[in-house]
Amino acid sequence: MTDIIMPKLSDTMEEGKVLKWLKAVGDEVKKGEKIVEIETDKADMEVEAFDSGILGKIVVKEGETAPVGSAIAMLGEVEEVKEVEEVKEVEEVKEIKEVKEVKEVKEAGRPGQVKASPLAKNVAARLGVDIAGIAGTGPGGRITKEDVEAVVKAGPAVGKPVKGGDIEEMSAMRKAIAKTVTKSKTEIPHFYLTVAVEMDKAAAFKEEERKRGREDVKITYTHIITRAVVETIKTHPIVNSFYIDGRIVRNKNINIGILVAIEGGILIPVIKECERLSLKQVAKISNDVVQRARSGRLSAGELTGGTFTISNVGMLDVEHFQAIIDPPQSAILAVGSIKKRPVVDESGGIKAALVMNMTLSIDHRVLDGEPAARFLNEIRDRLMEPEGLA
Amino acid sequence: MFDLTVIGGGPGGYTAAFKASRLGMKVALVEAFKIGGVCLQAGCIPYKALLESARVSGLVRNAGEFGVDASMNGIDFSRMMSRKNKVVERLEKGLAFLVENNKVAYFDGLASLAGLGKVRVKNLKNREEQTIETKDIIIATGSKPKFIQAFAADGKKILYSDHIVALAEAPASIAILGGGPIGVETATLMRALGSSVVILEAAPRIMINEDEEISFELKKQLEKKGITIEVEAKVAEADKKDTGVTVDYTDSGGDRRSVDADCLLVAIGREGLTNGLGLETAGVGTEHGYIKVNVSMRTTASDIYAIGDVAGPPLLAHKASAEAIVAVETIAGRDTAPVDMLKIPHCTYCEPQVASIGLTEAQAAGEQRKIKTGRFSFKINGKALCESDEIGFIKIIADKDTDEILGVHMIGGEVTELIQECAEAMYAESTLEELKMAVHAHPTRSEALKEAALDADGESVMK
Repeated sequence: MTDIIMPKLSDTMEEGKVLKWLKAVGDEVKKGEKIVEIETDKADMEVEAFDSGILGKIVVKEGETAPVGSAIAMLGEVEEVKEVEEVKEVEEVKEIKEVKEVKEVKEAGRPGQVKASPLAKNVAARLGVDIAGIAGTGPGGRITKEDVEAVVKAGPAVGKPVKGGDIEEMSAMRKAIAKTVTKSKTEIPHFYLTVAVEMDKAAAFKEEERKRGREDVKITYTHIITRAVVETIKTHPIVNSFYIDGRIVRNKNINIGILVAIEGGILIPVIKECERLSLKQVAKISNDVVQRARSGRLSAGELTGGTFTISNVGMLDVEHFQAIIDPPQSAILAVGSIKKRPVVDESGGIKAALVMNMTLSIDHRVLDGEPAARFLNEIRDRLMEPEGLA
Repeated sequence: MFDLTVIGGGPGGYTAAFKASRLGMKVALVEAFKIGGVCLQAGCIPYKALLESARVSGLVRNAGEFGVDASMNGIDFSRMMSRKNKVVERLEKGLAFLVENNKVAYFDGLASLAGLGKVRVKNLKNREEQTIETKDIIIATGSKPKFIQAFAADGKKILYSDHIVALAEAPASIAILGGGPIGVETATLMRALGSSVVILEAAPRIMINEDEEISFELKKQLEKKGITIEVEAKVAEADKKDTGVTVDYTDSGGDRRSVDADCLLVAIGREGLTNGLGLETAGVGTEHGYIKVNVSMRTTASDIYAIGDVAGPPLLAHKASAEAIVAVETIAGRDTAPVDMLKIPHCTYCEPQVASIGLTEAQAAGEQRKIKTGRFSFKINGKALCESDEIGFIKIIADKDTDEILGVHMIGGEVTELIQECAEAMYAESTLEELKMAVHAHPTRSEALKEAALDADGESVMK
């Protein structure tokens, strides 16, 4: 009997939720066959079996969460399945012994072994409170009704809804987003620079490249901007570094994260080693990962390792916005809509031009205003003369 | 220099003194009269001792029913009193031994607060004064009958309960002002002694703090014994005459009436003994005639604590001793839990006895929660029938959603012992389920409690 463990599907994943078992107890499982759907902080993923055998026991049921590395099921050979129940009993006896020891040192018990009055248990069950996490104030540290009611009275930390409202649990992804942006905004001293870019030449360049390229590779502004960013990073490598514990960690490769809005959240698939990719290669990889991000079929590796991020909401009619840096990266580029706007030309006349605003968010610990401005201006210049970006 | 000085030697005071001594403190105990307080000298113990004579007289009266040939020739008042005195003396000796054994310094005198960490003690016999220095002080002075000028006791025609336990002879007739615990206990005693008894109660029912059903059953049973009970009786005045006393009152119908009796017992409540302590100077706040305390029994003055009757209702000896433990453990810096007033049993030794704990049905219903009630009569309890004492019943009130035991109310033989099971159940936060499922021995009256719990869920198999 071997354990099927909760895999670590992303760098930041600490626990996963079993969404759906694709196999039932007693089913034969072949190596490489998908057996379970897991929700992580990044995405929902299907997990494959590493071995063949019979699914002997499901430890973590659908809807339950387990830490990375813990057993979520057991895989056995055909004869082994019958032993499963016995194994379980032995384990339970062991667990009870452990709990007894824990009790002796007066630590909180486990569910089912909690020291609580009968009334406290009834009240907790009625109010839907997990009694295991409550500190008891009764005789010998026993949990009393008052202890349970105090926990309920204190309520969730976020406060209570106004009359008629509801409290809703967040998905793993929303929790991860909340954690990341809070960490970023509380730890990283952001500053912001905005420039306006005339995009008429880039627009023409895009059409030309589209005509020249194979029909299945659709080139977008995001791809052109990505190329401009990559080429500029080559001359300003500091932007491509991480700030970690008072030190600058310089990255060798330029891995560009492309922010993708999906149902219920965002994903940042990463295009690795962009310094080696042509516009068409960027477009091809980008189109593929963005599409798979939207259908929830990205691998964990495709969501990690970014060194710089681009967030383009141009399709949503936004003048400009300031994005939050994805730690431990040092910068993120926020791209607004491309619109025809009046521009003063060299002769002093007014002309209509396609204008796009882009805002660079920078970690001030890594970069100061002047080099950041030069970095941003260089991206603009490349977009205004896009021939070199092919 | 003492660690702790306790003012008052009643159940609160001596418990505090002994507990503090056991925790290693150097303790002074100041008592102006005799050790034991109202409980031992004029309340619980003498009353219970006298009422036991009444109970035995009842048994003798009914002896024939048990096949025992005996004749009831009356109660010898002086022998009844001397037996009571022996009980009190024996307990006094026990307390004196414990004072000595616990190395508590006993001061005979009236205490008052004399500045920070100082207690002045004035001996009432030789008028000598001395000052005790102490780190902490516990005030446990107790209570006295509520004083109303119109019914000021003279100890002959107008009496308080402390006069009852010291009577030289049984009055031929007695009027009792107040149908609370003292009123009904005195009525029970006097009626057993052959007195004619009238209870005048201002409220719509006697034992107003008990559940309504209990009040009505008790009234019925007392009336069966020949006790007259007037509820909603507004007493205006008591005229003392050579032959006794005439009490004028307005009855429930609004008619002016009067009752003549040898004496009048005034049992309309008690008040905290706060006078002469120097509370105000010491910064000890009071509220409704009692010393204001927090859950740790601290008063508004630092290092001064108050427990028992003087710290507010319910005025019960066991409430005082429970608070004594809380106060002393607080002073000693130990973990302690406040006394939960809703989990204190109340026992009244009238006949039939009344015992209760927690909320009445009306109180529980007023808390906006769903309740369920169970009842069981002693008429179908084997032990009660064996004793030919099948009067009364048990009523239990529980929360419909959580099975929390909210209140238990009992009337009948030995219920003052039976209530203790409920006190422990409620302290441990047992639910109806535990009362239902714990095996109760047969034949006992406790089976009626289990059946009442089962009845709350419609599961009694004996009904």
